[in-house]
Amino acid sequence: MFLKNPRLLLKSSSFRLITWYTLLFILCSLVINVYAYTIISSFIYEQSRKEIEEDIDDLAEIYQKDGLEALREDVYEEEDEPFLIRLIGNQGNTLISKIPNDWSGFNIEQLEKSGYLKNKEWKYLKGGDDENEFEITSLSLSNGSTLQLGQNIVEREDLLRRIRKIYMIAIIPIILFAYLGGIFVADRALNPIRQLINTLKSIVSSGKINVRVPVYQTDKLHDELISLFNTMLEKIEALVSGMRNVLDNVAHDLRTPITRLRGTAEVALQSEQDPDILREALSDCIEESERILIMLNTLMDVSEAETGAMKLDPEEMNVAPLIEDIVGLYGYVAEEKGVSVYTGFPEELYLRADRNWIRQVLANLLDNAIKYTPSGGRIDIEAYRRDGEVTITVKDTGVGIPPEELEKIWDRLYRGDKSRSQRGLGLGLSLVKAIVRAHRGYVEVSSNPGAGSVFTVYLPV
Amino acid sequence: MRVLVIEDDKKIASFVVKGFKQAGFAVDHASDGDDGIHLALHESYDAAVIDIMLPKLDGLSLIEELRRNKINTPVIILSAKRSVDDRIKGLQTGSDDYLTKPFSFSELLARVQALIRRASGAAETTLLTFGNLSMDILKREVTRADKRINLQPREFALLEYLMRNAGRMVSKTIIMEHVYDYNFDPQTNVVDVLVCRLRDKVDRDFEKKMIHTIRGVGYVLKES
Repeated sequence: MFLKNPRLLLKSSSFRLITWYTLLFILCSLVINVYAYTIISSFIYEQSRKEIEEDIDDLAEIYQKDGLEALREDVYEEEDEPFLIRLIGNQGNTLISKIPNDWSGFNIEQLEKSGYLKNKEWKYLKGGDDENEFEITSLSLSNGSTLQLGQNIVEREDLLRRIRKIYMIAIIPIILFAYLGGIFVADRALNPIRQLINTLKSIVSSGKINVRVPVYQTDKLHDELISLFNTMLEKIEALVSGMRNVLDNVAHDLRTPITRLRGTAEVALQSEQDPDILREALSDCIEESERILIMLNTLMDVSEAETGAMKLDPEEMNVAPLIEDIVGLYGYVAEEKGVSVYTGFPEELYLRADRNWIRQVLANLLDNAIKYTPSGGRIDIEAYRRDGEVTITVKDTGVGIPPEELEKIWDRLYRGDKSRSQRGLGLGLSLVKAIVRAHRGYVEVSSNPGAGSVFTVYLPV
Repeated sequence: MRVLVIEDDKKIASFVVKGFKQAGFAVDHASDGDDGIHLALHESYDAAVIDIMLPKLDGLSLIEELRRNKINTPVIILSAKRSVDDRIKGLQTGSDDYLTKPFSFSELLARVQALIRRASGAAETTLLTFGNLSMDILKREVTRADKRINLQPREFALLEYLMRNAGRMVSKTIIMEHVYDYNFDPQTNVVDVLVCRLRDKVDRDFEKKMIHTIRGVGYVLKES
């Protein structure tokens, strides 16, 4: 579904990434700008108010200490003081009022109209001619009168206005930066995914599963995703090639018995109409088809176990009675052949495994041992539990296996009996190995040609 | 005895139908699930042979539908799959036995006959006789022409099974299931050896052989 339109998907996800990045970048820039402006403006305010605040304290002290006349003297003494100075008595009557000469557009009525000012509060007033701006602060004195001082702040406000303007203009490059950054980040973030998609597309379209996505080590998450994909591809490749091998082998292995089947039927058709010969040929055909069926089933079991597709139904089980069972099952067979079977194992050998498959393992090993042990020989089956493993050994006094063939015995359709006088398909040991492997165990064989072999199965508890 | 066969493969259906007719059964055949359920719901059968993969209505749903309608005709499921899961699934829907393709007709016949016998609830007799061979299951004694034959437990179990199915073909798979209680392939001639030993004890001293091998198919107890 996703592969159908990867371009569109990529477009929308990169669009989302860019948008989010841009918005976040702008938001962050705005927060920083606002913060910086707040700091700058509060610094400017503080600086410009510092003098007036000191003055108002001084004047208040003079008034309270030396009285109204001393204050009046002090106020009018300095001609070109830049501050507005007012003293309002406790009845609201103006006692002192000095307005600097350059305060054009200042209207004292505006201040009077605004009424009572709170202690130490700053009052902003705009000049009537729009050229000047003023601010006035007041200080309540203990005798009920109020001292007011004001200053012209047009320069300060101009400075702040200019700063605000710069910030406003700066937003345009910020947005541009944010957008470009967003494109860059989205590209960096989506590039590995794009590569992944391209590789997968080439795999899907070409069917070549040996292609791998390159790892760039740019980002841990991406690398992990890519290496996971590669692991998955490896697994698929192993499965597919395993399946291919199995199919090849099955096809090859089945050709021989099917040829025999066909040959038998052909010969029977060409023969004279002797019912006995026909009956014999038909029986051969049935036997041969039975063998093909068993072979097919066993090959399927082996390959299912090898590729990990085998259905295991593990349970906590005691393997000891299972061994006894199998020895009982083959009792008559061994007896007929003149082979004695001895066993030695504790009563309880618990492990977690699939009962039916373990039974098959034991049966195949014993079957194998009986097959290759001549009359008068003996077979020893021993089992014990050690280090979290159950070990089962099947030792025979049979013909043994030459060292150069020791590894081949686990191969499909290998038969030690070159003359093929024994019944069998050559699949028993392959199945043993595959089942044991599927249980995460392992098998071993050692042999002394002419003296016998020891097969050992290790199964984890 | 009347059997219903629901199978869409024409060749398989024809050899199954022919075989049942030869064995003296009345047979009806349906080639898809719809026809099959119609017949099964409106006619009365002693047993039904149902393929799992059927056109229109699959075998398992068909059996479920039968059981919902309280029709308890014993059923044998035929399937090309051989995994255990299907087997369990098949048995849970209320069918009574299961056979994987390819199968031999004699095995199918033996299983159908066993199902019918089980369903009819005939009491199992404890005294079996066949020709001059007789078996007392309680005393665990076997005699032939009044001559005592000593059998070991497995040999006894095999002979009992052969005598209960006297005249009918018994396959190696069935022997594994009934005598050894296993349903796995021992890859070897375990059954052959057991039959050989039994034959040695039962037939060796007598002119008339009773245990016969049908090559590639199985064994039968009959008077030659």
